[in-house]
Amino acid sequence: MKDFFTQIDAYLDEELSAEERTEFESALAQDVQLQEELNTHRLEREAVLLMLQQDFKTKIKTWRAEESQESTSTTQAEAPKEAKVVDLQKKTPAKRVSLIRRLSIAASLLLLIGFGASIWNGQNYSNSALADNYYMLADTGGDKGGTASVEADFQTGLTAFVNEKNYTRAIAAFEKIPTNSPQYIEAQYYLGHAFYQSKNYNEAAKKFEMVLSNDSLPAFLNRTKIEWNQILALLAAGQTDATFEQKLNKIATDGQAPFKQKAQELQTEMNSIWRNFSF
Amino acid sequence: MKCPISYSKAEILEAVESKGATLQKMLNTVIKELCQCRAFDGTVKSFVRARGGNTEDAEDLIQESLSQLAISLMTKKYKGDSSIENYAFGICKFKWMNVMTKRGIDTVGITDDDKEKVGTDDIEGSFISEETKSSLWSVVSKVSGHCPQYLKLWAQGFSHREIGEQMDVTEKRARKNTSECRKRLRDLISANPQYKNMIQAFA
Repeated sequence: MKDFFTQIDAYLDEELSAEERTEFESALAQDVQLQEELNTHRLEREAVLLMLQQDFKTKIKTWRAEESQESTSTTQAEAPKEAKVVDLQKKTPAKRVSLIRRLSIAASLLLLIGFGASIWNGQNYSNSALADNYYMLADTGGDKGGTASVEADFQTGLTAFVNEKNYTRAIAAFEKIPTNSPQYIEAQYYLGHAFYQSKNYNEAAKKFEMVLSNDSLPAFLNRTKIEWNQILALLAAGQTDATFEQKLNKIATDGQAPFKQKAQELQTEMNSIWRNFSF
Repeated sequence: MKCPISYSKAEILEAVESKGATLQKMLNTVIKELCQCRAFDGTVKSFVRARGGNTEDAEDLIQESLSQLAISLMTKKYKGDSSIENYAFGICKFKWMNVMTKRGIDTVGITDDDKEKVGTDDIEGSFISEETKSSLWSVVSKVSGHCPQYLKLWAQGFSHREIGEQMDVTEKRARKNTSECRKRLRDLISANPQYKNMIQAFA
């Protein structure tokens, strides 16, 4: 049966030699089961391509937005100053505005612009905004619906976290999982995400640290992804000390894709001049 | 139309053959550069505006077409007969003509040149209809946990060793997980009566 699937993959990947291809197509013409299996594999590929296309749509939206912002700022910078046409015949006597009043108006405008810019920068470049932008959602489904030994509290927590998005309830349930339970590490993982979603970033960082301290993680958990979310939790919690820098730098230089690229992007954004104006 | 693209036609085709990380890097670079190419942007917007659409339509079309371009490259539809920007514009033209037909916009303005495909490059990209794609999306959304990540890496031609590196598991575990995820997806497809009929119809 393995050869059967391998052959289908090789056929669809156009990796069969001319001779193998003819042989496969000849078998295909006579075997309805093979035809159906081939078509299931084709649909499987189409389904995965849909996932990838969706990912690209998201990236493209971001890239287009970046380009749009850049071109807007460039256009504004390059826009020629239009000459002001003044009809001398109709010119009315200019009102005398005192220097102090002019300065007051200018100062008010600057304050307003500065306040608006601060809000905008705060929304885009503050620690929590950056952390939210780069946050990776929790992986679920590893052992979901698994053994009979799964504690009721764990299931309650999972249902609250995944289906209800009730993070307070999820935290209460997962906190009850004892340290000797087989679900303890998983519970700590979900606690990390539940605290993150509740914006309790300090606790989230601690829980992720707890998970990472284990050498053996459940198969569905990705260590680098947890490290990445922990960095974001530290950032959002304002713990941007040397340890934070070290962790971020490690992923930016030695990390695995896609986190390496994300870490480099985050470093760039953290060094952005706009961050100086955010609060 | 000329865009500053870091990859030559030959390098694009080479990356497609290489698969995995090389393919992923090339796709991200080329698509991003096209996203930010003003000549491409202007050409598509002029084309759409001259044929019954507005700027918003053009923006949607660009986003849809460039995501289609990524898939067409991955599935080796692009043969290098034209430049990548002209090929991308070919996809835009093709898609916009479909929109015009759906909206009942007069297609008198479409020239023979618009109707021409770009060289021998195939720009349609898929053997299933748009309707089937949209219904297939409901199956895709049922694939949960770590499986979407495994499936996407597999579809881009990453080896099991590379998948293991990305998912932080051993090569053996990556092979097993990928295989299980693929089976889970195929089972979902086969279990759906709608697809069962389609599977037989394709045969």
